[in-house]
Amino acid sequence: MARALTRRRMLGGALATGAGAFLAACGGDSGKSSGPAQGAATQAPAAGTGGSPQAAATEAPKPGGQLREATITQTPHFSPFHPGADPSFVNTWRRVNGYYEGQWTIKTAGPVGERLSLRLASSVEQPDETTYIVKLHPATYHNRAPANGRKVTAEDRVETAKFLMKPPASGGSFFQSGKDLKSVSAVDELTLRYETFGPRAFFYEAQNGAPGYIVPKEMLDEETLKRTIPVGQGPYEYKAHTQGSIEEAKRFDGYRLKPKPYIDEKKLTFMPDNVAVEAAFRANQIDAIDSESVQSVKQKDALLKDLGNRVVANTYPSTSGMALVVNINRKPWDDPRVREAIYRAIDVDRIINVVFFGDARRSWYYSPASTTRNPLSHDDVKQWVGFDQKKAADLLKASGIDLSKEYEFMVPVENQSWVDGGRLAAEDLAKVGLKTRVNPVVRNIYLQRAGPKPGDFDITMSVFLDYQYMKSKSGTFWDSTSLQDPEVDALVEKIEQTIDVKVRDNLWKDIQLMLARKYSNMMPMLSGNVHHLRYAYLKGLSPDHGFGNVSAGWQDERWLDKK
Amino acid sequence: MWAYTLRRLIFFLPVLLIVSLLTFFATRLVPGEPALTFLGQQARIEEIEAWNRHHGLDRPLAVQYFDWLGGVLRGDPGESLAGGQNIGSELRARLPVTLMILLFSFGFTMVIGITFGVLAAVFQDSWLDHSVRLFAVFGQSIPPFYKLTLLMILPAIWWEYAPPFGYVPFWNDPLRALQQIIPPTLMLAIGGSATLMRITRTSLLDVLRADYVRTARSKGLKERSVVLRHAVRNALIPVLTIAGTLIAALMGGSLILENITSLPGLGQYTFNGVIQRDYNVIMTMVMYAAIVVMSAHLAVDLLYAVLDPRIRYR
Amino acid sequence: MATIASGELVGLPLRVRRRGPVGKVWRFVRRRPTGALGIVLMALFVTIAVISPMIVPFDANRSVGRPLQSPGTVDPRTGKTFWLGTDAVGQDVLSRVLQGSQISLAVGASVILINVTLGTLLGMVAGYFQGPVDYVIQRSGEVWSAFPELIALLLIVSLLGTPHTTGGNLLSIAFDLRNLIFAFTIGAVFGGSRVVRGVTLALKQNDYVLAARAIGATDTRIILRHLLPNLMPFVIIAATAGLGAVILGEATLSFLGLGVAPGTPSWGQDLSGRNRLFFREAMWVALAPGTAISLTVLGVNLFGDALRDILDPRLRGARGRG
Repeated sequence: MARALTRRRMLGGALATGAGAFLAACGGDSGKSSGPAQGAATQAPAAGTGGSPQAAATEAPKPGGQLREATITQTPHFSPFHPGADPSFVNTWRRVNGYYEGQWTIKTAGPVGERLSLRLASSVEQPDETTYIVKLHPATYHNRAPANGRKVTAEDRVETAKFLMKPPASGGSFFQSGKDLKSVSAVDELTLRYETFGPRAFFYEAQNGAPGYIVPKEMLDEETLKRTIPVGQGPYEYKAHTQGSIEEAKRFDGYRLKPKPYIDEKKLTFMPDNVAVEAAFRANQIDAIDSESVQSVKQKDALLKDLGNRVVANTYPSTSGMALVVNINRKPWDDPRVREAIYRAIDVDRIINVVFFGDARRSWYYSPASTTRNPLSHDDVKQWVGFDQKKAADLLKASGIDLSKEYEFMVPVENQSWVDGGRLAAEDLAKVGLKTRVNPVVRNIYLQRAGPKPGDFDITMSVFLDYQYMKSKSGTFWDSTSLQDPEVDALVEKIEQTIDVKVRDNLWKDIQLMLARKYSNMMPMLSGNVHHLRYAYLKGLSPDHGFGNVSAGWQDERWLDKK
Repeated sequence: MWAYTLRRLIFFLPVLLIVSLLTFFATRLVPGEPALTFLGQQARIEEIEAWNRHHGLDRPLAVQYFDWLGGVLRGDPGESLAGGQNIGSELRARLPVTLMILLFSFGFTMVIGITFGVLAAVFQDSWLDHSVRLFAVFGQSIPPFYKLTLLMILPAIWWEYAPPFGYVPFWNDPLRALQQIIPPTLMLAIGGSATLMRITRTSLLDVLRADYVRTARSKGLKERSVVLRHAVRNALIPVLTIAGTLIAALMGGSLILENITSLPGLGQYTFNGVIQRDYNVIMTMVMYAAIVVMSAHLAVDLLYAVLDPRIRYR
Repeated sequence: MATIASGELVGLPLRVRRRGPVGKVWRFVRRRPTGALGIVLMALFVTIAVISPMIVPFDANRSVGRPLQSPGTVDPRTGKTFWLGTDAVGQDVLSRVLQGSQISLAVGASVILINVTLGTLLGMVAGYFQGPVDYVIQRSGEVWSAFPELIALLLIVSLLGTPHTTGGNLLSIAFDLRNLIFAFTIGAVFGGSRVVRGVTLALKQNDYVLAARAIGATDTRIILRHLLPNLMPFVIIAATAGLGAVILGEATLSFLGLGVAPGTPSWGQDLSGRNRLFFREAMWVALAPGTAISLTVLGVNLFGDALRDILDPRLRGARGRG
């Protein structure tokens, strides 16, 4: 639990889960950061050792049974719209248990432009660049107060969206900036009209996950949401709850897609120590285990070896990654030569081989998180930032900075692979003459120091941050992560306002090249893989939505092949 | 003795007040923005401000303190910053779990410590004495979190066995609860019992040399009866002195146990509160712990007086 | 220490005189085998901690080989052997275990030194002067004792931040880890040692103290010349009893993520985080520091027990039924 219990533990497998504890704060939902995988997932997810999910889909699903899962993160209340212990994990339980069916989800794989997967929305039309007409499927709420099984209406969504526009509800900047979403109204009982202030590229992403949920309008109040048993329209409804330990859900008979869902009951157990989660999986007390607890390929291999063909493993690329950040507001990091030297000094392949056992990829995303659809290759950028320690040493000398000084290299400790990766990076920096002192700090101190502008750090590490952090004024505490460059700002804004996916895709390539050329102070290094293991009797998982119990986009197709 | 108890109880109040002041100002004067911890890296400034206003953290510290104090005096410890959950209801749900753990680990510690302490004293300097002591001291030397980790991992690797996870109240399923609680509390007890054993042994050796024991022996009583009926009872009085300390130590042990074995007790809650800087949770848990520890000390002192007629509190 | 010798001599003065130093050692080993084992382990621990910078085969803070190599693997580049294998980032486990002793000793020794000094001082002052001074010291001790230790430690380290060190000599390590040491020692400011206070109260009534006072000796002189030497056995007992607890405490805090910072070659740290997740694939990574810490604490505890038996006046000459 070191921090892991730590700790350590709160960030869990940030790198691995990809959802990333650091990310997804605005939406409070990992769905929001599902974008980068869209770039990473150009390689198809590797199928596991057992039968592939596609093959499983051809069998006739068997109804019944109980699905048992575990999580190391606790959710302290019932609201899907308010931060819990850690914002990226809010709603985890609710999402895992499938209480709500959002308007749509965004797949983590598949061709660009075809990843939108409509759920409760039956169609979306765009009469002009700033208007969206969304039609909903008829559906009913769970039969529980205050909705008591009534119909889901467009009016509910309107009220929910309005609720999300005011903090402390976690609506994200799309709902709350006052510059993106203009209005939401109900055209008729099942038709919605969204208007934006101008063309906005991230209309769909902003409503993926929790901000896209529909809650009965009678419940839209912080206290009620937090304390009342969740009432949604998803495939599962709340059954029972043991505070701080277990939450059980049961099949919702009124779910709109009969005969789904197939599994009768779900049980999610909170286990703060990931060693305990592994023990529970080995003892077959849970049916699946995800990257929160399988943090390396070695661990996955050992589980496969021990449990044999009873279990199946799936590996898919993480939606986030590990980046180095230097503080642009401090000398000498404002000097592009110094930044270029850092890029060229670090042997990322060695970090991949040593810390990740080869189970990660060199990453060249400069425009991370929900934006990267068109990742760069090494050839695209090697003229600016390719690995070259000799050149790095020369650049440092040429810059004339004081090389006798020792700089602090602050590393967040929650995931040990970060500390280990940071230490290897520091060894490389020392080789080219830049002395650093690695200082691992716990998450809350990391956030205090790295966050508030202009940042109290020299060098640190971060997960890939979302697009707004590339702008000079991000409206957050993180003004030390952007290049503070008007050219970059202009291009980011242009991208945010480009609706056509293909055109935007090319702009993304432009901005990535621009950031490489200007030696962005946010320096991408690598992106890992996510491992998910399950007993072979658990079937019907969709590879396009990822396999992890948290990142799995939808819940109603799983089934258990047990007697 | 009633007057004494009353005076001790009244003394609780200033102690609690000082403890609360220390904790309150220590947690808040350290620079930092708890909002960032809860809202995360991408939170916007407006969100942070709204959050601070909502939790009253934008007010002067003294106002916040008296607000908190007023709440506690009315019996309302406030809300957790993490989830807005009422801390009182969380306490009620979690207290039975921790009590079970404390009860079992305290019981095991006492039974193991006293039994082997008596054996070691009776057979002083024999192989039994040495091996019992060695075993106890060895048990005490392994860090509890390491013992508990091995307890989780090894059976899972060797036999694919793990104690049932997921807490179910004792009366709903006693067998399951025992499976969850006995192995880890036994592990904790091995550590604590070493101290207890040593004190039992020392104290019993002391008593065995006392005049009245010699008298008992010279009367021709059986050794067994001398030890069990005359010596042990008196030898146990000093053992009590560490029972209070033991409770405090076991509360720490329980925190680790709850985290490793996934039992939703107060230890988990305290630990989360501390790492997240959840002000109200920290305050409440420190107060709770202080009350338990002080009560344990008081109970020990009173019990002392009951068992040892020579002691009179006034 | 004269008291120990005389205590030992009471039983068998003649035979002891005939024995040489080897004979004495042998007698001690036979009489107190566990105590002897404790002394050996303690000596080993302290020696390793002091000389570890000279004997570590590899730099404990650097990735020197491929990750998770089994014990006994030979490093192809240097030809040196990883006797205890490598950890998840290719650091030599043996080097880390050896160097980890430094942190345990640096933290343990500084904490004990500070705590025992302060505790003895305050305990003596309280016991000697009594009255209002005693009252304040006693009551502040009661306030502090209301905090369960682990919670207080967690709180302090979480507020101050986890310290990090890359090694060096014991003093510089202790300085690097001052946050942690502070957390362990702040309690000593309150209350002082109850035992020392009690013994001081008793000693104060002794004739020689009264006599010293009668001839006009100052309080300082009485405390230093008359009380302190007689208190030493209790102080030594408290010190050894505390050392094991502090070493375990540091490990527990590190395990919970609030001790020394990750990456630091410390036993507790190496037992936490990712290393535990490699238990199946690379058992040695967690087993080595776990064994090291257990043996060290065992040594300290056995040594402490033996010392207590020898120094505790109530047990002196105790032979039970014999």
